[in-house]
Amino acid sequence: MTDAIHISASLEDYIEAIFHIVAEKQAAKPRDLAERMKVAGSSVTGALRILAEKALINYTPYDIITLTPAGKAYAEDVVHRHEVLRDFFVNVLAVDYKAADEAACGMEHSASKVILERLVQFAKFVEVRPRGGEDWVSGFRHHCEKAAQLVKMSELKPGDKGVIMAVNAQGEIAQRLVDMGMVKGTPFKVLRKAPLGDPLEIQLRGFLLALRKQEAECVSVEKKAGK
Amino acid sequence: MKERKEMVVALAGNPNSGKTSLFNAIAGTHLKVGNWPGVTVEKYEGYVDYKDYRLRLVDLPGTYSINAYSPEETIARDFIAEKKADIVVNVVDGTSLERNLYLTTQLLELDPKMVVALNMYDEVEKLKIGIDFKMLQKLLGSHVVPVSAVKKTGIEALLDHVVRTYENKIVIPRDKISYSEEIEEALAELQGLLETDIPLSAKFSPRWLAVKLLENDQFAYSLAKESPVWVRLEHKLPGILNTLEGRLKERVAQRISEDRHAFARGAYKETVKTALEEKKTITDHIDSVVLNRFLGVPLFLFIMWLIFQITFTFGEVPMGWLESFFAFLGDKVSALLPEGVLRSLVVDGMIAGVGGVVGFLPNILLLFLGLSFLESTGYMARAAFVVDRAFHKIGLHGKSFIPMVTGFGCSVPAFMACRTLKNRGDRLATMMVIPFMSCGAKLPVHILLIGAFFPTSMSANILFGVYLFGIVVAVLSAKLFKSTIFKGRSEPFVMELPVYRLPTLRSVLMQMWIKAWMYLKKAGTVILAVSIVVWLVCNFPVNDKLNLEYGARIEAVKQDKKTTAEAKAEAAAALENELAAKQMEHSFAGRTGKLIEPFIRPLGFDWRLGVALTAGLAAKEVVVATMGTIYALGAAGESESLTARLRSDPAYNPAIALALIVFVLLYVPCLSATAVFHQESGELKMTLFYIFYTMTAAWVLSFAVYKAGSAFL
Repeated sequence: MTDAIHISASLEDYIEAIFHIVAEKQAAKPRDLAERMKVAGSSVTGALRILAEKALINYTPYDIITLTPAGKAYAEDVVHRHEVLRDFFVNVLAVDYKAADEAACGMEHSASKVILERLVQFAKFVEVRPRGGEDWVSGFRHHCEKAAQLVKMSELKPGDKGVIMAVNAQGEIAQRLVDMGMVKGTPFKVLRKAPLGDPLEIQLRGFLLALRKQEAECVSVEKKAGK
Repeated sequence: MKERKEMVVALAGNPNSGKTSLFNAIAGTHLKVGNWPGVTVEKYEGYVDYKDYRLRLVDLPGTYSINAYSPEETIARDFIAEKKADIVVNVVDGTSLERNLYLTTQLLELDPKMVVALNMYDEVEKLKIGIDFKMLQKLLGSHVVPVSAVKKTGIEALLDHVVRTYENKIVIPRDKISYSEEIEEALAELQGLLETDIPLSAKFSPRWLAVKLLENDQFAYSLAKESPVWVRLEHKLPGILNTLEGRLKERVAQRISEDRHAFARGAYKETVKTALEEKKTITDHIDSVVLNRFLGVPLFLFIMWLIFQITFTFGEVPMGWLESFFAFLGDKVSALLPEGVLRSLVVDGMIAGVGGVVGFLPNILLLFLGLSFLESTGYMARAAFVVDRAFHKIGLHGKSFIPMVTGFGCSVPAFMACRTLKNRGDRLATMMVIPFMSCGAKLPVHILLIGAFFPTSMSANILFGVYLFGIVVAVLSAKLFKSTIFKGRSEPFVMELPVYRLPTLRSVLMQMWIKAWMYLKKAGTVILAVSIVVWLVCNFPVNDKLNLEYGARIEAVKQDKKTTAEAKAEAAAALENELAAKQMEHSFAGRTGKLIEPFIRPLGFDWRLGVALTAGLAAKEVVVATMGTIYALGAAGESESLTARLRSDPAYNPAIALALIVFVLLYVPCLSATAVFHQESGELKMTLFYIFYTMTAAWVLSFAVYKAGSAFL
């Protein structure tokens, strides 16, 4: 999570487009990309070269383009931001799908993680508390504060107990965590840290699981009182 | 006797569910180990005859899930989905049913003929866990048979159920695992569509395909795309997925997994009654010592040290036996064959070459005995847990330590031990640095050179420094690799710490033997071939003129009447050695030495060292033996005189000795190790890079050491 790569908005558009083309056809060609992005072939080449330098894509001239694992993770993140925004516009603001999609496209590059999380919170909040009123806004603030009580699993100490609320990861890591039984509502207990301080050992579903702090950071949990 | 009918029985289950022990308990010694095509995942096959059948057992890799995220999962999934098994035996750990049933839910979806083997039933009884078998059978739609692989109980009953299920004598109505309402609606729609494609739905269960499509599974997509139904599916699918995602407000695949876990938990709650909750188990007690903040690391180091001591101390004795056996064999064969090229090829080439490698067998057996013991008790996972942080810092994985430590013994088993690393980048990075862990065969070279050029009081420190230097190079290289060619996320550390169990002697020995057998097979093939090649380049072409000349001189010495018989023999032996050295110079190996002299001159090495280093490509011990031959001092064993000779040779000095030690430490390991590297990496590109990298590192660092040494020593 810490090895953040930053690329410009237009490059984000490229990698997003590659992601979609790869999803459809397994591999992308520069021409597909130019067509989809409605740009000239020459500007595609330049962008591809930069993405390849950052090890986000596998690309050599005149060959097909595929995403590296890092590129895939990056693209998934961009797509996720896009989807959150779009869904918010459609479901909460009642914007029609096409317009929402276009707006999301422009905003996805600048929306930070916190803003996005709040938008998701808000959409959920609207669902639970559909009626308006004076206390509505403060109600939302309260709702957010309650959500903020969720902590990352990595912040718990040996002996702490909790319940898993969400796994905020994508791709392989998410799948691995979920396969090991880390799904919403699962109670667990932190047993200990390794002698060098990392990884952690937790007990859940009747077995013992070791995971690095890095992975435990992706799991938000509700801490249970007492030991 | 009438012909038995064959049926294929696949064993599927979680890692640590005792699947392999059960497999061994059933198949006994009828065991075949190979690789699954295209991947470095071991494949175990065996058979057992029961009633009118021959049951061909296939042990699928242990997995927690079959979502095809790893090669193991893909193998297991494909094997069952493509109906290669007539019967699937799902092995579950009865003491950890809740987690084990998650895989069961996925297996059920593939709708195979299945029997559930509830393993470790002896422990279940001991722990007073009550299991409602009737209910469990009803929920899973499969027969559940209690077995204990360790105590060998219930095996007969299991085979009986397998046969009866195969003959359709047991049919339990199987309810499907039901998902959330929203998902079920989407599934119904997809399933309806898929069922219109009769050939496809005859091959794969339409419900399974539908679930997999919702999970965005690549395999399911490619299946669907190849079928006529895709034309209609293509239009409907995005809509179905979009609506579903909108209704669920979370990722569809995630919800599907959640529902499966919910089913597993439900089945567990309904069928299992445990008497003791939250009681401190034996595992807790052991872990509170073994993983203790202060004791954890020292204990880990102690256990590793112990394994080493056992491997190399106890290994020495049988190693001596094997060496004398091969020497004896060599002598016998020499006596049988007439003197000449054939005898030399068989004795000096084949027997000496293969014998040299097989000589390591006791070490390898003991090392693997220790490692399989640690593995099957459950300590190995803890060891990875203890050291992961340190290894993660240099870009490797907690599991990398086993191969790296093994590398101090021999690179061959070390490369093989890298299989436990699933991530390609992690595995290759670990394999690339293993050669820098100074292996046992390099030790004679270090000892010879340190002994010759440094005072005895310093030699132990220098030797320790050499090992340390190798480790530093390994660490820096690992860091370099992980930030360049093997960039990208490393394998996440999400690992079960299995409950401690005392393994049966039989299963540990079996594991050890399997590894040893693979090693021996290599000795019989690759290494034999390599030995022949090395013999050829060292012996050809022959300079006949030299042979005649020395033959005459030796004859003259023997005829000399003035000296004693002893002196005669000595003089003759000296001449023979001189001839061998001259012939060596004339051979391809010698010419190679001369050819590469310009490249190694900057390191202070002359052509004689060039020959030794070239021969060292076959095996590192050969460096010493070759130097012995070249210096015309007779075979190894008289290394003292070689030491003296080296010391007095004006062409050498301590700086060159250090440079040579560094070169031998770092340059490409022996050919058998390289062959194993290639086999395990499976990529020619990687093997070439590995040769290039070790050579470059050796040259550059030797050069630096030579220059620094010349300046200071």
